[in-house]
Amino acid sequence: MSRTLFNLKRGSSLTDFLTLMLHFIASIGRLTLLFLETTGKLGIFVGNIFRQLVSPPYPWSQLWRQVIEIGYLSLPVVGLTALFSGMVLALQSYTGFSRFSAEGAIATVVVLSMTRELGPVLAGLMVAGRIGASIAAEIATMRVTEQIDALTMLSTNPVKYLVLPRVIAGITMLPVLVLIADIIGVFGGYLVSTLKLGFSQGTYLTQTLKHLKADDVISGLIKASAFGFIITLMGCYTGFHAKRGAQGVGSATTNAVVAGSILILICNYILTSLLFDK
Amino acid sequence: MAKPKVKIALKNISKSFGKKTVLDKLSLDIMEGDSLVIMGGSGTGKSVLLKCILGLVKADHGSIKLNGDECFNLRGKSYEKFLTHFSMLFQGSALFDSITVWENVVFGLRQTKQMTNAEAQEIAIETIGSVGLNKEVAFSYPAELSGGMQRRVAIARAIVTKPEIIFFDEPTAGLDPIISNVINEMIVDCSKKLGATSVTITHDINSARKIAKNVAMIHGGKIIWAGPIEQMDKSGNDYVEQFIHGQTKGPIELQIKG
Repeated sequence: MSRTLFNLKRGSSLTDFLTLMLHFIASIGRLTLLFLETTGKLGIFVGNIFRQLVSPPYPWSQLWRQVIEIGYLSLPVVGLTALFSGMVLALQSYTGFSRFSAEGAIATVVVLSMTRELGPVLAGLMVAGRIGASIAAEIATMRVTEQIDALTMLSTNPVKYLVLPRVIAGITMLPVLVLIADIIGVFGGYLVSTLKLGFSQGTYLTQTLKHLKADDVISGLIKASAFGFIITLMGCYTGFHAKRGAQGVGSATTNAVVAGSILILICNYILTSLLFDK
Repeated sequence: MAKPKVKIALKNISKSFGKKTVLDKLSLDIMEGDSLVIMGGSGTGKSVLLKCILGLVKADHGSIKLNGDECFNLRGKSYEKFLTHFSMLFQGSALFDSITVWENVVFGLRQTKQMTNAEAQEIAIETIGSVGLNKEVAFSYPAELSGGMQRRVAIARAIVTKPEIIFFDEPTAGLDPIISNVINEMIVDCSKKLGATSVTITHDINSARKIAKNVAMIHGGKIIWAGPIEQMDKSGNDYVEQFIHGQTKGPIELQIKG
């Protein structure tokens, strides 16, 4: 009797284990299929954008509107982020470098960090939050209220009218924002170094410019352009494929910011490896 | 008297979303100059049918002929040309929030014809006037208008291009009875003036009686009855009877679960 019960228990736990394993494998399969489906759809979406890029006429008024929205109106948030990042960088560098009497390198560290890394990444992440979310919410709302269908009915290609201007504005405006962020960030470091840490103004500026190469700035601007593409692409893609209702708009917005931010960080590593200067 | 031509011929149109079949080998002829009302319960695929005809939703199978020419699954320039025959009033009006009413009205016209701002504005104001709205409304944004006014602006946008075929998707949904009647009269007037073929989707029987020359009832993804409006009350079809009288008991089962 007890032997049979033991065998039954052993049999049932083995079945449970196998069921659990099957569910696990099925989940991996589902996720893989979802990943492949999304990648495929994204590829087709990008292909469609490039097709519209080579087929005039272009919606210039929309492009101008997006240049203002993505470029000009993002300046305060990007500028403030850069200013305080530059200031903190100067303070933290001082804490570290003063331990081995290398305070003179602070200006170089601030300018190289800002131009090569912090400028593009911080601006990219801030713009992903501001613009990625706004693009996704706007396009998703248009999707659920049938405005995108209405555009098609009114002889207007929705990708050309809604997506292309945003992507072009993202690719061109992010480098401009990053260039301004670099200058403001360096200025933040300069303020802290000269007013709080007692550096001479002339020495700080000389040190800043002494080791800065054009490549440092250019590599940051290349990154910025790539980030601009990622942010606007993810905003447009998630908005365009939003499901019905308010929840669909919410999910599209969240996905745009999360996917945009993660892709920026991944792309940042890839570009840094490619542009790495030994 | 000349026999009216078939304007749109639908044959065996099928559309499924996952495992759910919405349209099941649906066939229907829409005659030139007709005012056809398609009725049916919520979720029976009325809007999907219109969107399948327009290519906004891709049908899985079937044939869609416009003036005798096959138009199923058109792409590129031929699809753009196909769409110029149509205009549509969407369920929620689908006006563009970021531009003014007059810009909304002439949006489609400006994509196909070169015109100055002044010319476009003049056409827009004239069309807005024809749907009973004041000139001042032209310079407002859609969000500043009531639901009924938005619907009229959407009608103005639908008729300004003088299309051959107009689709109206639930034109009176969410409107009070008086405004609903105004919209119904407007649909009849506009279709008459343009000589357009119109297809209206509604589950409002009063609207159907005012707008329709012919009625088609959709259920289970198929057209289960079609005929002149005068015959609707004596159709002898249990589904139609139940639907027009709003009876809870009958062959149409209420879907409690999705």
